[in-house]
Amino acid sequence: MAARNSAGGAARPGGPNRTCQFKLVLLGESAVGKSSLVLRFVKGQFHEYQESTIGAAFLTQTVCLDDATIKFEIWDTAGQERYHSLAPMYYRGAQAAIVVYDITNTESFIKAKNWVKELQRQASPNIVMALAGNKADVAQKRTVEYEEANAYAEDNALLFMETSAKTSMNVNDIFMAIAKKLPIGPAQGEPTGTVDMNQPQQQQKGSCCK
Amino acid sequence: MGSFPQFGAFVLRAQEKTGRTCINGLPVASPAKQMLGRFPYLQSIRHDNLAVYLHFSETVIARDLVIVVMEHHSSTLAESLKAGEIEEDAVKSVLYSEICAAMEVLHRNNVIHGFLDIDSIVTIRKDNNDISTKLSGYGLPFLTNYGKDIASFMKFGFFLAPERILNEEESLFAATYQSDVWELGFVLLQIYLGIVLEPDMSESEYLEILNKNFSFESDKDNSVMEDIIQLLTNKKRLPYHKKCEWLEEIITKCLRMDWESRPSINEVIEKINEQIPKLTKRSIYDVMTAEDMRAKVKTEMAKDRDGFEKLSLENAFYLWKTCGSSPEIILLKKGIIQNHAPISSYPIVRFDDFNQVDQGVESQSTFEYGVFELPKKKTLARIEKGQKVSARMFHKIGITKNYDHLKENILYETASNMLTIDHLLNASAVFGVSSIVSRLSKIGVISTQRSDVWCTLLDIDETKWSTYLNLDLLAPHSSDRQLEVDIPRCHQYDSFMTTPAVQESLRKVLKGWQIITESDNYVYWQGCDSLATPFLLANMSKPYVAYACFKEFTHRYCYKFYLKDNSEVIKEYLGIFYHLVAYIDPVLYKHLKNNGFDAELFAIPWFLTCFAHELPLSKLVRLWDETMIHGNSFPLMIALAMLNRLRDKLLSVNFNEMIIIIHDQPDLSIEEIIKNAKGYETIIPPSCTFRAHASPWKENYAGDVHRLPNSMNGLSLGELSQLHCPRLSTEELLWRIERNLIYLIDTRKESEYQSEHFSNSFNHPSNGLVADIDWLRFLPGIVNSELPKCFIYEKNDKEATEALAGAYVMKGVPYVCVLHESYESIKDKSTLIVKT
Repeated sequence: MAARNSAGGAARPGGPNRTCQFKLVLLGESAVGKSSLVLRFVKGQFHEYQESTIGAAFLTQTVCLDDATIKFEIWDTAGQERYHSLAPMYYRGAQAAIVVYDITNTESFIKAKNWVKELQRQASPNIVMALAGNKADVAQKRTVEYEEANAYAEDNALLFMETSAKTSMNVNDIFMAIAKKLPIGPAQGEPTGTVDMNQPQQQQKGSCCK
Repeated sequence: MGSFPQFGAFVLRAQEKTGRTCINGLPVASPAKQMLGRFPYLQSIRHDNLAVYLHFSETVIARDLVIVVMEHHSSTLAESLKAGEIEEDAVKSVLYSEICAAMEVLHRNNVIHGFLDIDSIVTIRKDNNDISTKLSGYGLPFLTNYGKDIASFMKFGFFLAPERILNEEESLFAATYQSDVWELGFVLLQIYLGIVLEPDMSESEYLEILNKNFSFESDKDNSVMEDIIQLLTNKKRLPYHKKCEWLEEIITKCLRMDWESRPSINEVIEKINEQIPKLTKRSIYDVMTAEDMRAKVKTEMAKDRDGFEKLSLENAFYLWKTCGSSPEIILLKKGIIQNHAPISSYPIVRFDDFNQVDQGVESQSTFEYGVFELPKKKTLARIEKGQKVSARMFHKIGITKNYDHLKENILYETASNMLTIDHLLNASAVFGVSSIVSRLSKIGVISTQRSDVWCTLLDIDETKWSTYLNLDLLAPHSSDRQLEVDIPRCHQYDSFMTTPAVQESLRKVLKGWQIITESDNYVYWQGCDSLATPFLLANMSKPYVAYACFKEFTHRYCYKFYLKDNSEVIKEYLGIFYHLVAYIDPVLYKHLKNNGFDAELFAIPWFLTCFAHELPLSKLVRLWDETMIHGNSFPLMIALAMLNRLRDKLLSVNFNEMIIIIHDQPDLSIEEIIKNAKGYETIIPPSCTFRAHASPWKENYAGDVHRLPNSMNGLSLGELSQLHCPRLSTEELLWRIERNLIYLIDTRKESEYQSEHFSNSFNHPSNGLVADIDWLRFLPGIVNSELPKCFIYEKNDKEATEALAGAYVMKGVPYVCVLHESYESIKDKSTLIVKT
């Protein structure tokens, strides 16, 4: 499977490449597969019994676009509602977010919509948001229709894909789709990476290439 | 030969079912796993006349085979009967009582024997030459879900109850409580007659008798007893036996064709108890005089035992394994399990498309049926003549004699540790936990004793779980969904945790805990599952004990962490943690701060689960063994040690790498962590760990300084984050001044200092309170000292002094702290002030 640093195409050494760092956060109900998506994307692995995330986990992965190399700094958050109060710490200053739900669990789709609302209200205005309907490999148990989620995504200008961390369907694709939508402007500003603990919302930077 | 016990192993082939999934989409646990989960319950049923189950494992070499190990004795009741050892009435009476009592215990615990016959009962010669019995191989219907979970054929004795024979096609495991009673009848009959029926009565004769008695209209009380006696008489094989009316009546009833008319085991045992006076066992405490006692000691000494007989069977089996034995390897070497090359399962000839001749072996592995006695040569080889194992606590006889030599011998070392821990646990009931803590920490805990040690340290008794036992754990609860998704992925690398039975117990523990602590506003946080697991694994057959341990442990070390809104508690904890980092390692502290690397980013799972989410269980339990003999701040010390381990790596990188390094802790040596954590505990003044939200529980076995009163108040979160070092309490300050265990740096004006100050204090240069390393460095002995440097100040200089202390920290000065209140408020409390 996708080896480290090769997701989304081979790196071209010496090409006209700039490296850009973007902070990406995953949000969604617990046990929808947030950690599994990240693990599939970053390490190409899948664990049937992926343990629950407490607080948040952090991983990075680089993808190559035609004109830039993009390094994702990924914050994979805990899904349980109780950890909600920690979430702003992770999504503040994030340039991208993937809100994940489980296509076999209607509740998790409702929860996903709440996350979208919260991000629209609280996160950076330019944040690139994607909606991922995970567990597409068990589509026979589906309770959330593709059309319904797709319509919702269109209404809210979200990227949308149904994914499967287990079969790796659409996993790299959704990250690539986000990468392509991120503003890769002329170099300016510092890469963020750090998490904003208490300060009010940061000024969103146009891009963060160096 | 010594007194080292024997172990017997048998193999079962588990059914292989693949591809099925549960409602949550996860694969269904394999039958082998399901059996593994049921095993602890079987293991927990104890009675003097039941052989103990010791071990259950899936084999590595053939994944469908499982190995069961149990207590073993080399002679069976059948052999004793054949040898004519069971002839006297007194002996027979003992056997009736023992066997029925053991059966009653099984039935009371809802376990069907399923295998009862004279071959599955072992006989033991006691010291006084009396014969005693134990039932063996019981409970397989329960273990295998009435045979559904196994694919291997089972060989039964042929005196099966008629209804089981009829059900042959279904499964021979169609055993019931009533069929047990039938089979008990045959055992009693053979003891009564003093013979083994089998060669005298063939299987066809047995079936004939059943046929004759089997009819739909027949009398409900129709029994086969008489026909059997008649058959033996006809064959002139009926031995002389003293007629015993009441026993014949019991046996007749047990052997009724109609299962509903057979008596229950309770009725049988009632009858037996009526007729056979209860065996009066003389208790060892039942000594009348000092003479008696002396005589008793003398006879005990004369037996010249090697001490191993004092070990529990679990401990003995643990020792057996320590000596380099594994049931699987032994069974393979001895050819009990045979592994075949994959090609051997191919037919020799195949023609047309599907027809084949000679199927070859059916599975990749085959095994021999029956109980195999595990050899103990390796263990016995380590036993040295004339040496005894004994505990190392109250008496120094036995092993201490030649101690250094035997210390090399892992068998004696481990065995005496086990006995010592047994002694300590007994002693704690009399002298209190504090009396045993220091010794316990030196010895270390062996897994077979962990449950007892933890219960003792956590002060668990039945009062702690009585409420739990009365809960309705089936009623729906708001956390059900969360538990449903969390438990199947909790510590799944541990094979017990993958079994449905253990997962169900974990669900009960967590749910019970929630219902009980709901009134305190406690809720289930993800991570509680990880934290409860070690307690459950130590008490698999007793979820109520696991619950009590979990509740007490979290009360001590995770106090208020699971409040619905825990943010203030956690933030205070993390704030204090960083103060301690500043105290111990100011250089690292500065680096973390400069990179915005806050404790929230990595330490929440550490503390929230007391490292259960971070460490594999094998390391975690060692850490907790140690935690439980320390105070409620010990997790902070562990965290310091965890951070220190990565110190050099962390210092050389920036934020992104730091966060990756800290989330990934491979090759962690837990002994190193424990050693360092203990080290920090001795260096850090206890009052520096003060938290407003600390657990009210305090250990009472640490030194004086841990037991000082404390007049500190909590700080607001803002104040906490402003401060760059811990605070010291007045009480501890005075205690330390008295013992010369502190550097006092007084920031008051020189004139005030001159007029009065604490003895042994230094007046900081009044340079507008700017950190002056050159001045500090010249205080006598300070450079190499690990004593706290405490800043004291006058009321108006509080902020300035705290900033000054912070400045020293940022310049890399370790062991800096500030007094929690001003000089004015303490000067009257002390006689140690020098006035000029």
